[in-house]
Amino acid sequence: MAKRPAHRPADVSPIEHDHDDAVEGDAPSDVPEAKLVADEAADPLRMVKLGGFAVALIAGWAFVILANKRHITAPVVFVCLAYFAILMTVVNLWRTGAAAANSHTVNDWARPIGARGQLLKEKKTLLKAIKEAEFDFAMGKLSKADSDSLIRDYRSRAIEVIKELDRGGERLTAKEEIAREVKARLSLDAQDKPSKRVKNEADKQAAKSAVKTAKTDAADAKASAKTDAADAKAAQKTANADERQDNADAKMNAGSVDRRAASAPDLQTVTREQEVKTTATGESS
Amino acid sequence: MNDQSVPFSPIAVVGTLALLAAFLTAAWAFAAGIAGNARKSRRLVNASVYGLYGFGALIGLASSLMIYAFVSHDFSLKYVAAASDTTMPTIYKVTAFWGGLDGSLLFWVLVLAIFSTIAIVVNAKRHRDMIGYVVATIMAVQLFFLSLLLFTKNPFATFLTTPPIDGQGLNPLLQNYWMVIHPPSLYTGFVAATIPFAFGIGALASGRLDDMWLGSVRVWMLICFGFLSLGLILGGRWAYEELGWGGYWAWDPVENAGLMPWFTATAFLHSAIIQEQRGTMKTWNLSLVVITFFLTVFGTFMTRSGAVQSVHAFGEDNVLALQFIVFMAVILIVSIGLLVYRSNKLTARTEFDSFYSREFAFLLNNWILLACAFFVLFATMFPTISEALNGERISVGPDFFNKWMTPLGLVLLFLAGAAPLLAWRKTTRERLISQFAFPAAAAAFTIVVVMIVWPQTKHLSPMFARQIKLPVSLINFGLVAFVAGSIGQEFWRGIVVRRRQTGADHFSSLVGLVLSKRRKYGGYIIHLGVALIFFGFAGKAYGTMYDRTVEKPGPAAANGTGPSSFGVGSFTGPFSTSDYYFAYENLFHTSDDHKDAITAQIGVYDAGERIATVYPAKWDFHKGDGQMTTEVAIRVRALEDVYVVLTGYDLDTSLANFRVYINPLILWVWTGFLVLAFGTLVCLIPQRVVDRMQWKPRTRLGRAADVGSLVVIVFAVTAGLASQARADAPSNAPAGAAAEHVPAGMGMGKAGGGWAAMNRPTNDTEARAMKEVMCPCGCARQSIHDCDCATAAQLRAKVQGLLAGTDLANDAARTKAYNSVLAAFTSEYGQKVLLTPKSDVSWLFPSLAAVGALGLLVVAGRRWVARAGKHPAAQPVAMTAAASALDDEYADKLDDELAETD
Repeated sequence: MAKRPAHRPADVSPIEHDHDDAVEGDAPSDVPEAKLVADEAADPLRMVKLGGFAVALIAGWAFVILANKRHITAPVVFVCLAYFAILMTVVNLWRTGAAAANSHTVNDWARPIGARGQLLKEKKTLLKAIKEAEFDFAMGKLSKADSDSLIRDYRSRAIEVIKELDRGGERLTAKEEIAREVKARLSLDAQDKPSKRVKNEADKQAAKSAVKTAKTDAADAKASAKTDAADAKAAQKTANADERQDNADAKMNAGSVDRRAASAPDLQTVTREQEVKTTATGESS
Repeated sequence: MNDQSVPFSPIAVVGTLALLAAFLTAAWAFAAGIAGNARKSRRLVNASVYGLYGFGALIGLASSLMIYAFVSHDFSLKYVAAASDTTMPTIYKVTAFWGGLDGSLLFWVLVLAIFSTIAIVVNAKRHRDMIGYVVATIMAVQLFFLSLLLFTKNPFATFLTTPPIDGQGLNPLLQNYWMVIHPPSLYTGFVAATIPFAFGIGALASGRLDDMWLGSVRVWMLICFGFLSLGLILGGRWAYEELGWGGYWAWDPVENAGLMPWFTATAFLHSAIIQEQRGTMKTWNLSLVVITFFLTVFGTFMTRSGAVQSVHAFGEDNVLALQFIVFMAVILIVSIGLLVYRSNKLTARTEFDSFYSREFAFLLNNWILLACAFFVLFATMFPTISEALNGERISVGPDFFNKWMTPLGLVLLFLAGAAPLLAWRKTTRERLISQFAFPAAAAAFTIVVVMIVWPQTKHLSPMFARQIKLPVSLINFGLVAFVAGSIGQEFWRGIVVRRRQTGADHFSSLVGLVLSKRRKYGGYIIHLGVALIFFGFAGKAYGTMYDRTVEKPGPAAANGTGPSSFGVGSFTGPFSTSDYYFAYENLFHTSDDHKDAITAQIGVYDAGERIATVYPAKWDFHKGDGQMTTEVAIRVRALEDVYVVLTGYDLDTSLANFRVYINPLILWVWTGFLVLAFGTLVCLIPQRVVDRMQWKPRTRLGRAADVGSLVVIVFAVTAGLASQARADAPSNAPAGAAAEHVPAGMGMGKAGGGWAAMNRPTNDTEARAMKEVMCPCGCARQSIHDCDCATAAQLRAKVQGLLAGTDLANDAARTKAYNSVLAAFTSEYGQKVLLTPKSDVSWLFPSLAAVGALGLLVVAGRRWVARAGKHPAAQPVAMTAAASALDDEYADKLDDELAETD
């Protein structure tokens, strides 16, 4: 539970009621930070304060109007506006002082805010750009080749952006990107040479005790079941890809530009890779 | 207890205290914002944000008190006594708030306080890592204007001795509905430029130079563009109706002050799209934001310091001028310093795939708009510059502006039609032909038709210098047709594609198209409005002016002829064949609490048929400075305006002098603006409104109701603007009279003299010389040919005297005679008497700048295109091993998102 002093104005922050943002920084270590932000937004006295403000405003206006014998003239209107301005001044000057004096404000500077927002914006821009390229092609401004080229580029980038968003909106550094790529390639290489790995493991297993042999058998059985599932998944993916390719062809024949058609080389490559993987896993099993 | 002789005003005390408190609050918010952002202290940033809100409330208090002082006649305040009196209608008492220099500064601060509060409320969360700097920047601007208010131009200053019983009254020229709308709209446009500037500085200071800030800034720049457009067009309308010289734009420095930031704001709205689409031009966009803001401050400096002479600028004030100069220097130093400091983060390779791409058209458009802004700046300041350099003030008349701005405007008009036809990145030759075929054919067809039907349009006008002559009107009509064809084609093809995608009918497809791509199609509507405005410009070139003196009023004959009637020479303009006669029917003198009015009643006949009764007048305000105001009467027609001015009269004999202008196509200038305003509103429709329309109503009826509501709102706003473009007929006008009698106020004419009709030119050489000599009476830089004062009449006589007996038999003789007249005037009055500067600098500088800029554009463009050739567009990164494994899944995800994107 957030530790908030009783005297602390609950609605002190004009900024931090941002529920979807994680909070980092110099907040008290024993305070769940997200909870702290939520507490600030949910000020139990908010309605009371608003009500008090409304009462003060209406009472003041009523006084001005009654003092002028209920004749609402131009001067009366501007006196009422001046009174409203006075109330707003008092409230906001109080809040600025309170905000400056509040030592418990959660500091969220450490978090790279905006990274996710920037990615969302970029994704939105890319989605619109793809639509725009399709629209331009349909209107006759772009040739098929140019349209395909544009859409392919935009799609590739959009996929990257979506991936980054799924990772939590954190952009990888170049070093991290290389490490990730190397790791992924090693993983693929490992999948490409399963028979050798299995053979080595079998040699090792043969030198071990009967108890361990039994364990190895059990492990093999598990691996076999996993491979079967992977085969089924890969086959399903290949079928899906073929189906999409068919759909793309059908759409192309219908004369409309198709996003899948635009990225057809990618699709074919992916399909080929999946076939290789399927073969490899088949060998291993 | 105050002494009875010493004025005491609680309003003045509280108002001044409010300004002082606002000053302290602004200083606090400024310091807290900078410190908070620099130290990454959220509490300080929060405090600065609340400080900004508190500042707004304090300025609201001061403004309320100021207006209260006006409406309650608190003449102990000097400003109230100077700008109002007890007899003024309440609405003018309220608008007197911004009618004078002191109040206009407070109004500026108020509008900026409102805008900044809205901007911070909307963006505080989204841009919270730069919001401290944004608040600090806004507060710095507010501190400057507040310092002017507190230390130089305090509107709450009181008299030291007994205050007057009544005020002096508002300047008569400000007592009309245009002055209710025109200045605040220009101020609002100026002030709106501060918000993008603040976000730009915030982005530079915080280092957050991605595209996030651009979205927030673009909306505010669009608001700035919209209000500047409104202010400029209302200024033109005001000049047309108030000044009585038959025109709407004379390149007056005050109007130019609003035009310069309009150019740069327009440039930004285009180049921001390039950044969004291609990720380049970050430095350029930030520079445009800074320049736009700088030009708004510079414009304010021009109009309030006396640096330039204008028909409606405030008086000369050297102290104020110095303060503005220091402030402008600070703006430039801070902005350029930050741009240099962050240059490493702003570096992005600019690459264009082809010259035939939309981004290159936008770039060209940016360069020309910037060239327009700097040319107007140069020409407006040229008299001041020349005075500073050689002690002689050289005048720059409208003709000089027109020679440069007309060709630049025509290129911009072409781009307004061409850019929408181009695709991003590149347009192939076949597509280029396919896209341009129809608009080009429309342009060619129009040119041929106009040439055949109205051969006057083949007239060649000198551009840049007298040696280069072009059929400007013909080109203008052709380009208007080109833009209309281009935009029409875009809409039609868009509707066809939309129909194919959705299966909806034509109207639904049109509405869906515009709402789903509001910025694009709203922009197209704006382009169409600009084309209509240019259509109106083309007609103005064929405007004609007639001066007549009629000795006595009397009943008109059946055919509109008779001793009290005068014709305008069977007018056969290029766009109509009207045959106007004017019957002078009455001259009457009326009086009310505010003024004496001398009004003429004129019957207007076209080809023998009475089409209107108009009432040109002269008003003499009791509280004015003795200068009478001119009340023009306008009969608006689709193809031309009939514009009648009472230039002189004699109440004893009922003799009257009239000036009649026939202004072709002028209606289309105002109509074009309404279309432009409509397009701007379309661009500003928020996404949530469209979302609501798309998702909330489940029935067709509900959706239709939503669309209907939106259309009604947009049209209501547009119609509201349109209603301001029309004036009411006078209460004493006969039933059925469709004339427009507009209140005016400049007082260009002088009563009783009838000077306008005196010494009119008798040949072309006289007319040409009279049009080149500027009238020194203090009017709006009018020539002695047009000005209706006594001085102009005397100088016209002088021209006629100089040319008397001169050989005018051939061109050479006429040119020699013309030059001798100008030489005689120059030797007597100096170079400033000429409307077109003869100084080589005035021609050389813009010429070199234009050639240099063009060369730079070509070199840079070739380099950028070549760079793109060397580095083809990034190959799909999806082919990497890590990515490929998941691509299929993400492709599905992308398709899902695309399906939901309209």
